[in-house]
Amino acid sequence: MSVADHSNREITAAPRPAGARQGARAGVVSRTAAMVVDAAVSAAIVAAGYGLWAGVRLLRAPRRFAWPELPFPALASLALIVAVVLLTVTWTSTGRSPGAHLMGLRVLGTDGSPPHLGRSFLRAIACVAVPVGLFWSAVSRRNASVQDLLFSTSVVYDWHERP
Amino acid sequence: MDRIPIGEQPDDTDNVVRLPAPGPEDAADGDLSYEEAIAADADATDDEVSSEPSPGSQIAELMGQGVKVSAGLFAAGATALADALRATRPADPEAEQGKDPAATLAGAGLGAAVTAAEAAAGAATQVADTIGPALSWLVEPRFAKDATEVAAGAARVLDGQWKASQAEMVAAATSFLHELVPEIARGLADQVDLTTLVRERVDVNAIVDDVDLERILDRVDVDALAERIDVDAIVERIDMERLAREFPVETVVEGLDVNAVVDRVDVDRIVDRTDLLGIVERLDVSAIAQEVIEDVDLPRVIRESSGALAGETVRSARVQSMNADRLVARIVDRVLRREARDLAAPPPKDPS
Repeated sequence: MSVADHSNREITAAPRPAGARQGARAGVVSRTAAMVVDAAVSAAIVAAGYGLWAGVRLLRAPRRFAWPELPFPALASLALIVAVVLLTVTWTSTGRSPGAHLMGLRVLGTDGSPPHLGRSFLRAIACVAVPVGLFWSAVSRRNASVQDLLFSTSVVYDWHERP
Repeated sequence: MDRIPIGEQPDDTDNVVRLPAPGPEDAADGDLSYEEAIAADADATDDEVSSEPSPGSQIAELMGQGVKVSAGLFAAGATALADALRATRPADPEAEQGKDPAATLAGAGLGAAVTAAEAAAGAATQVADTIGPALSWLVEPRFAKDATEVAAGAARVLDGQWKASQAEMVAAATSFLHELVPEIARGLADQVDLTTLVRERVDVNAIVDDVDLERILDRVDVDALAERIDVDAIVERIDMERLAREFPVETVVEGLDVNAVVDRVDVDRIVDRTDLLGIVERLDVSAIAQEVIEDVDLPRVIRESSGALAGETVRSARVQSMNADRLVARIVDRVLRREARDLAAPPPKDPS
């Protein structure tokens, strides 16, 4: 099946130039933007958790309330763990992390469907541990990042809501 | 007091003063006292009347009844006059003992009137026989000789006669007034506008001021009154539909100062008295939530919000990043001196 055939099932909401490229492998700029959004979402989740924790402490002991003290490495580690969990769950379910959803991207396995859990988990760890591996997609002839090469995945333009 | 039928003579007519009828025995009565002479004559007259009624007796009886009525009316007036005279006079021990000259004089006058009435009745039947003896009696030398003594005695006798006849006279007058007064009252009512009269002459406010409402209310047995009221019967007779139809709701509502009413409502007190927890416990919240969830198409809401997310701004960002991807790829490819990239995605999973 050609790219054009693959794009036939795409939504018509995409403008013509973009619609022609639906299903094609995405470039480094879009993927970097998606990665930044994912990082921001992870940080936001950690911040929300921190605020929730502080709120619970405030309710339990209003007079002795103080902001919870956590060292930055702990917070950073927490954010990385959250990111891994977030990416694993979203990739294996729909193939779209929050950033991918925003940028209209989707992660696919070798069979053209979202990767399975183990592959998603390993790929998430790889992405969080070596985020610069993403930039290999700028050089790769198939727009593949280091993680794509390691786990036989690809990232395509997909503005369609469902895989 | 029983009403005395016209035409009948009362039984106790012995004391009634009668004009002495002339006769043979009249000469023998020369030594009789005035009272004795009258009493004897009365018996004779009574017998004559009862034994042989003459053709003119009915006229006489009618006249007699009329005179009795007049005398009764006069008696009432005279008694009232005597009372008035007595009231204006200083206290008199003699009056207290029953020898009131005023009463005596009034009774005497009445007795004279009664006697005159009886005489008039007799005269109607025996005019010719009565005039002469009466005149002769009046010019009796004995009468003129001791005029003062006779006058005093006559007054006493007349008073006694009056007292004896008083009951009869008053009864006659009463029965007469019984018939006459309503007629007079009706005639007066037809001629007089009582409402106007009351308005002009009666100080209603003064009368109302004098009314002791508290005392009246104390005497009113409201419970007994309420028990006698058949509320069900009253309610049955009320045409509620007509009442509701004609009830001026608009007027009432316009007249209501709703703001003032609301200002007087103590909302806090109402809330305090409201069992909110009880209400909440009685509500099947889970069922309501389930119903709401069923009514709301959550997937559609999420899709629409996602669609909103993929709005113009997002679409623009996607297109720009897509173009940036192409630009970067072209630059890199040019630097690396190679052909266009192979961007074909892996084919979708074949369902077969």
